[in-house]
Order: sequence, then structure tokens, then C-alpha cells
Amino acid sequence: MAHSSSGSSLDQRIISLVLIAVVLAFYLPGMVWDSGSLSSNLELLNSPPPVKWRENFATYFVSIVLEAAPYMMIGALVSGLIEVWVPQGLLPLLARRLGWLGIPLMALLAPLFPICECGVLIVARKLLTKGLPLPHVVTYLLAAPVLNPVVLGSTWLAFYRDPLYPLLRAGGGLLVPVAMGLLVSFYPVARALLAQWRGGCSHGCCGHGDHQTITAPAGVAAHSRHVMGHVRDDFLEIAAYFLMGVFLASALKTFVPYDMLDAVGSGPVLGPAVMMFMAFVMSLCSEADAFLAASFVEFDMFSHTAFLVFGPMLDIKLVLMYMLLFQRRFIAIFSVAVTLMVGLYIAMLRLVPEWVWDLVVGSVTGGQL
Amino acid sequence: MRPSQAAWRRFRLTGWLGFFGLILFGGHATTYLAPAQQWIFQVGGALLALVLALDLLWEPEGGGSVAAPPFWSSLLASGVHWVPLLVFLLAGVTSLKLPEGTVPQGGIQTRLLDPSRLAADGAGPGGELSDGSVETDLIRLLGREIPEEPYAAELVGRVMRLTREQIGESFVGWPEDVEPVILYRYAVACCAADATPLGIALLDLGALSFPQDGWVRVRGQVVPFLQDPFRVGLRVESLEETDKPDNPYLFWLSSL
Repeated sequence: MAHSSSGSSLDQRIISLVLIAVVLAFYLPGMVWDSGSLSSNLELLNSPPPVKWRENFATYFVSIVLEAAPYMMIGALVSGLIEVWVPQGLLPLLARRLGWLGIPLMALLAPLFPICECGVLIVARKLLTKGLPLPHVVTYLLAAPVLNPVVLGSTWLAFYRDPLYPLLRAGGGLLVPVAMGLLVSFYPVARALLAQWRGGCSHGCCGHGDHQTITAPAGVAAHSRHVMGHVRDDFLEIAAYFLMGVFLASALKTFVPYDMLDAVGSGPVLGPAVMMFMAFVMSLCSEADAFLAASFVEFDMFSHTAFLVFGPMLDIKLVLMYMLLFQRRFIAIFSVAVTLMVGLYIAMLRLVPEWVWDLVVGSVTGGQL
Repeated sequence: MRPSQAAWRRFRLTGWLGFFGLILFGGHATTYLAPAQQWIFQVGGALLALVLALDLLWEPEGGGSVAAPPFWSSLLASGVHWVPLLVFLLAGVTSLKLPEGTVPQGGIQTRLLDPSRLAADGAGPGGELSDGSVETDLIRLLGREIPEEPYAAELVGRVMRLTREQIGESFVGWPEDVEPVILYRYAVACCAADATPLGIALLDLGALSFPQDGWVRVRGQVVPFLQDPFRVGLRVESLEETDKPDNPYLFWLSSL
């Protein structure tokens, strides 16, 4: 496929082989045992109920794919529109003029360009090819899925209209990405990015083979073909990694007993750590994760906040999709850094005196929840 | 002759489109997605169909000038795009179930959902029916303050008999003479992946029989349970088996 390097093509073949083999191993033996006939089980609506874990795994897998894949398509569409409509050189010019102020500005602008974490990587790659510096891209990558009006609104609803939770989530969604952007500014770009994503949009870097640079107005039809070509190729390239991530997340959701994690404890250190681990494993959409977080009533506000801030920035799906952009060593360092930054944010929140929380809540709600 | 790059591309897109189409036109989206999410899914499916259609109409950009990889290599790389369809065909239409023997301690919400943050309005849990009973669901039931007087309610969900070992910390103090049976249903915000099991203890079942983990319609009186104002039970008056609802999940956003 013209869009991907030979490395990612090999990855796709490996992922394909592993997924198909495991799926067949999960379901074929059970089907043969339960019904004695393969053909009867391929009648979709009449398939007999399999063992519960198989049913739960399939439910998780299918539902995550159905929920996230459309957002990936939308992210690919946004990426295609950026490719066609954002002039080359504009973004690096703005970044140079703003200097380091551009990093927090990327986080503050994120609510204006909200996108789910499943689609944000595709957009981030496009911003890189348009010359936006890596620290700015990383800031947007981490902030956009959190500082999303829909996400903050659902957080407010999930915690029974308590404004403190969306405020804490937004605070983390602002401070952690900015800190990460500033940190990344000290990291050599050549050691962070895969080779094809360095240096802006040069020949073949967008992977479109005979890449046609549009140097003059070429009409709506040509622009549309260009956009759709990018949508198609971006989606297909990222899909394999996405599916591997969904598979791992579904398996962990099916087999990991979460009550075991509850038993580990919900103290000031373990609580946020456990919740961050659960956010990583569950790989939930940021628009819905607040409802699940709220159901963990044994954990305190700070642990909930750790879940809400960490989840959209780092989970199994995202780590695998990052492999399309970043070098593996950078992903490892990046993951540790994000974890530490969220932990630091929670630690800072714990230092805030209680009367300050009462004041904040009182001023926002007029004294009533 | 090897299939071209464009042909493989379209083969991969067809895998996705087949999966989307089967879910959408088979009416299975409600089994996996919340109502708002179903709309996004339709938009994504339409975009996917448009991409494939335009790819067929227009010549691929520069695709013809790039040599296609070997057949088996391309087939393997394309296989991953058919995995969602493969899973759906092999597993069938599925919904979440609590695995027997692994009911998590505290994993079924039977407490009022964070009683410190009760819903602002003090209205009853649901619309009142003509016979004085209240139409409700587990989200509304568990999300509101329990009235001082018991009230009649009708619920639809799955019934499960638990063992004493499975009761665990969620039901400390469960009376010895009360059989541990719960009615539960998953609540979702976006899709089945974020589902949370909500449950209520079923009391005074007497000789009523029920299918283990089967769908039932239960009528009874909502009462406090375990001398805990933040736990609820349903004193059962009638219980009957029912079909699995078209929407097996409750949706947070339609009930809050």
C-alpha cells in the first residue's frame, strides 16, 4: 500500500496473522463443541449462546470498533482537509512568531478543534507534515481528547452535575499536555519520530506515492479527490494498529477481575495508581469514561480525576497507534512521563486546602450542587 | 497477474463496509451502541461508503505506477481489515453477561449511585402509571433518594441467584434466611464497552421460579435493604419471564 512504509506493512501482516489466528482459536473450538456444526453457527441470528467469556469478549470488541471507527474516519477527514486547505509554511511561521507561548496556546485552542482520541493521532500526523513543531503537536495530541466540550459535559452529567469534576478534568487536560509539550521540546526530534514523519511534507512523507503538490488552484474536484485519498489511506493505515489495541483491551476487560484491583486499595497513592491502570486497560472513549469512573464509588475524587485525565492520553489502543508516528523508545519514555505528570497533578491537588475546594464549588454553583 | 494496489485497497475497504453494513442494516446497532452513538456510527458508515464509491469512480492517485506487493503478502496484510466482520459472524449478536462464579465483590451497583450526590430534583423515580405503580429503570431507581414510604415499581432485567461467597462486601449483613437473588442490567453511556452493572436485591421470592441469568419482568415494592438507607431492595409481588429487550442496555444520558 503506497501510504505505508515497509516497516508498517510488516507490522500489518503480523497483526493480521495474530488477530485472525486468535479469533479463530477463541471461537471455532467452542462452535464445534456446542453445536457440532459450523454452518449453523454462521446463521447470524440463530447462533446459540456461547460460553459467557466469549460472548463478553465479542461484545466488547464489536462495540469498541463500532464506537471508535467512525471517529477515526472523521479524524481522517479532518486530516485530509488540513492537507488541502492549510498552506504549507503557515503553521511553522505562527509557531516561530509565538515562541514557547505557542505550546500553551495549542492546549487552549483544543476546545475549538475537539476530536476524540481515536482520531486525534491522524490529525496530529497531518499537523506535523504541515510543519508544526513536535512539542506543539504533542500538546494538541494530549489536550484535544480531554478539553473537548462534549467530554467535559458528559463528565458533569456523570458526576451528577457536580462542576468540580469537569473543572479538575479540564485542569489536568490543560496542565499535563502543556508540561509534556515543554518536556518534549528538549527531546531530539530525530529520536522521537519515525523517519517518514520528520522534516515536514517532503516527497513520499505523506506516503501517497506519486504525491502531487497542489501549487495552484486545481478546482473542487481535484481537491476532493486529494482529500478522499487521504481519508482512505490514513484510515486503512491506522486501522490495523487500532484493531490490535481493541483486541488487547477487550481481552483484558474480559479476563481481568476488577474487584481484585478494588482490593489493592484506594489510598492516596494506590487509589490514583489503580485508577490510572484501569483507565489504561479499559481503553474507553473519553466521552463515556466518566460514567464508569463515577461507578467506582470506593475511590475518592482525586482517584477519579486521575482516571479522567490519564485515560484519554494513554491507553492500550493509543500506545499501539502511537507506533505509527513515534519510535518505540520514545513511546516508552513518553508513557512514563505522562504517568508521572498526571501523578504530579494529583499530588498538587491533594495539597490544596479543603476550604479552597469549598470556595471553588461555592463560587461556581452559588452554594448548591 | 497480481491484483493492483487499488484492488487490495478496495478489498480492505469492503471488509469494513461489510461489517458496518451488516450491523446497520441488520438492526444490530442498538445492541452495541447508545442512541447518540448510533448516529455517529451512521455518519462514519456513510463516509466509508463514499470513500469506496469515489475510489471506484476515480482512478487511484498514482496507484497504477506503483508495483503491487506479492499476492500472499497483500492478502495477509488485508486480512486484518476483515477481522471485525469475522468476529461478528463467529460470535453472533452478543450482549454482556455477568460471568457466573466471578461476580465481583462490589462490582454490581446496588447502592444508590454516590448518595452524596443525589439528583437535584426531588421528584419520584419515574412516571406514575394508572394503577399507582411507577415506571422506572435501575438508573433512575438507584440515582434518586429513596422515599420514606415504599412504592410500587416494575423493572425489566436479568435475574441471577448468587452464592454466599459471591455476595461479598456489597451485601454485608445479608440475612441468612433471605436467598441472595439480584435483578441486574448493564448501563452504558456510549457503547457496551463502558457498561456498568446495576442491580437490586429481590426479596420475598417465595416459591417463584426463574431462569438463572434470564430476562424477567418483576413487579414489587421498593424498600430500603440491610437497614441501609442507601441500598434498595424490591419486595417481589410478581415475576415472569420476558424476551430480551431490543435495547438490552440502559442508557445513562436518557435517564439522568
